[in-house]
Amino acid sequence: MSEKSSKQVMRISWGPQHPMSGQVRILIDTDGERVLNIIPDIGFTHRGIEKILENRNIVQGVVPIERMVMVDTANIALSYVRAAEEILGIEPPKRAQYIRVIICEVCRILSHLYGFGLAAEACGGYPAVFLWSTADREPFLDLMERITGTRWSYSFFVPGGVYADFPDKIKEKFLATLEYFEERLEAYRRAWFENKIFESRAKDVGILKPEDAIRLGAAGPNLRGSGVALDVRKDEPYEVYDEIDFRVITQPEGDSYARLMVRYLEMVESVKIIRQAIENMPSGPYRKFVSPLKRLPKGEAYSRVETARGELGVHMISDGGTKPYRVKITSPTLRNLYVVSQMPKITEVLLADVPVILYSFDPWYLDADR
Amino acid sequence: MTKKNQTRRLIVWDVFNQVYKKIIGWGRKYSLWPAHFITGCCCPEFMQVAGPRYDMERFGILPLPSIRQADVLVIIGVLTRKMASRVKMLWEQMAEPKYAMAIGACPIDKGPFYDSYSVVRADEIIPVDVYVPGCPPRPEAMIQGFMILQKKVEEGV
Amino acid sequence: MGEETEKKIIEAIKSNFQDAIEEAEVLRPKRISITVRNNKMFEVARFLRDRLKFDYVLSVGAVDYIKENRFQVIYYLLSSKEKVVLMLRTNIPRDKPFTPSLISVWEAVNYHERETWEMFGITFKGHPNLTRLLLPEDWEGGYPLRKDFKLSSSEGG
Repeated sequence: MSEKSSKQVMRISWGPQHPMSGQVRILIDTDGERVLNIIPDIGFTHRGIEKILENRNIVQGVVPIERMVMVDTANIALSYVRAAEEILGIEPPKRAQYIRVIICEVCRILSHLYGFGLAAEACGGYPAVFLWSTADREPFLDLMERITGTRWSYSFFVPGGVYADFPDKIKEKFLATLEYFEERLEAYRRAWFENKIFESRAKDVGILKPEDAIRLGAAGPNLRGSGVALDVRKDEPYEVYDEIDFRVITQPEGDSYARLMVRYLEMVESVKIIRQAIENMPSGPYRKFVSPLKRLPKGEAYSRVETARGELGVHMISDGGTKPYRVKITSPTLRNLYVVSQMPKITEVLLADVPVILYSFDPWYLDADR
Repeated sequence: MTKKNQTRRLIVWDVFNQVYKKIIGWGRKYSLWPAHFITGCCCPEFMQVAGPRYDMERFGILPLPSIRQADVLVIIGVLTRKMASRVKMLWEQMAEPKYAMAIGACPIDKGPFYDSYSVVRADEIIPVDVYVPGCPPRPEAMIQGFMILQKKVEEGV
Repeated sequence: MGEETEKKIIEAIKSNFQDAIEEAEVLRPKRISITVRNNKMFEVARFLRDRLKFDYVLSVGAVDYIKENRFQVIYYLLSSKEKVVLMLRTNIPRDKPFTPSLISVWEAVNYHERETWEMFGITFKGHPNLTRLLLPEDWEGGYPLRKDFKLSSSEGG
């Protein structure tokens, strides 16, 4: 009897102006230290991308859609461009596919470094790991600037191929950057995964069982961190992923430590993929020209791409004009946020665990809001 | 008081005022503290500016958590209607002297989302002092934006 | 790479619900699309989840066919064992946009059905919390993704 009457629920509003909140308001209902409810209030960055894409042709449309996730623009642009290519019925040349895979894997490394750094900041490792990850992005950004001209939002993919070929002598620069990065990965492992503070904050925190992960709809490394081996690059290989040897990383435990370990090991796999792609890249044309004013044939296409945060799908329906009739984007972060909101119901969550759990799911709210 | 004493007083007061303004201007411009607040997708580039290569703390720019103690409100990226009401609230809570900066093409004139139904321009909500165009702007451009703001702060004391 | 799994799935659905299925086709390897009559959506959904093991929900969306005066609601489902994507579609009249919510079959459709309601005005009967998700709290502008809501850059906008 006294248990029930001593329950006092307090609602904390972790709002958009906060050092560690991002562009979201998270409402946390707590009773003492125990969390009863987590309610994400999103929509602070809703730009209406799906409506805008109905007014852009297939070459112009890459610009708004890749600004969905600024750290991972290549994978999202690839999803849109592949849907357009499927409706048009064309396939890009082999060299273009290799270039696309290399740029996509570099973006995966950039995104995982970002997510990793923020999760470390949430657990208390700001000066060391977060600033290391900021510094280690710079060599990759320099590489991307040599190839595409900008650091983050490339707009480099176009239906039919890529806009430009690799410049001369880029292979040596790639190999030098990857060698530097492998040393840094070793430093991260020693500083972070062999760190007692990180273990005590992240091990056995936010355990997600495999059945719950599928039932609630977790996406990407969060699904694989619970032992479910779903990865679009292996289930439905696109571009040249079927010619490259890599493995799908899973961890069985399902806690925050496992999810971050999956991201770390995926960075190691990405380095392997880039090395193989650079060695085996054939010579040849890099673009099959498609006019932006070309009328799309009537039809529809649903393309799936494995971005760093999970599977992203673009469903494009065309009614015969130059602009698509409807573009529906399947967002991975919206699925992950639902899992976070159900966490207090499936496991015990304390107030201090909320940032660790949230950042182990690597949310990017512009992706959920579109 | 004799006229000579009055004039002497005015001259001393004028010299003191000038020196005082110079010191205050130097102090204010090298300690512009923005509040931790991001609105849109230019934020990774802003984090690179805070990182080791383009270190912005050497200019005295240190993000801090509380809006009450902040000097400058930096709007980084897209400003939507839902966020605009919060920006107005934050602006009114800041203490004088306060400045505002709009980073990115989106808060200046909506950027690539020029026809969106829920994006607004930053100067429809708060008075902006410095605009930094780009999508996203290069780190050197953001630092130049801060230096222009520093000049404005020093001259406006 | 044949399409045997996809054809078997379509055969199983057609043999259990002959008159409820308006259209069922294999679009290409690993893509199935079925259109179901609105009054049988619940039974077909339970069959897909329990017998054919479509357990993972990717998203829920809708298309506005204004010239034919109908909406089409689409559920994007994935089978985690067979790795096949199935689009479960249903047509509803544009002047009476009601459809049963499938939240009791797959609880992960919660946020997606809320967003579809907000953007199109389609009411999902049985959803516990049809409130605003992405638009501001005081939005009074109508339903943005309908075809009669024009942006400033469209013809007639």
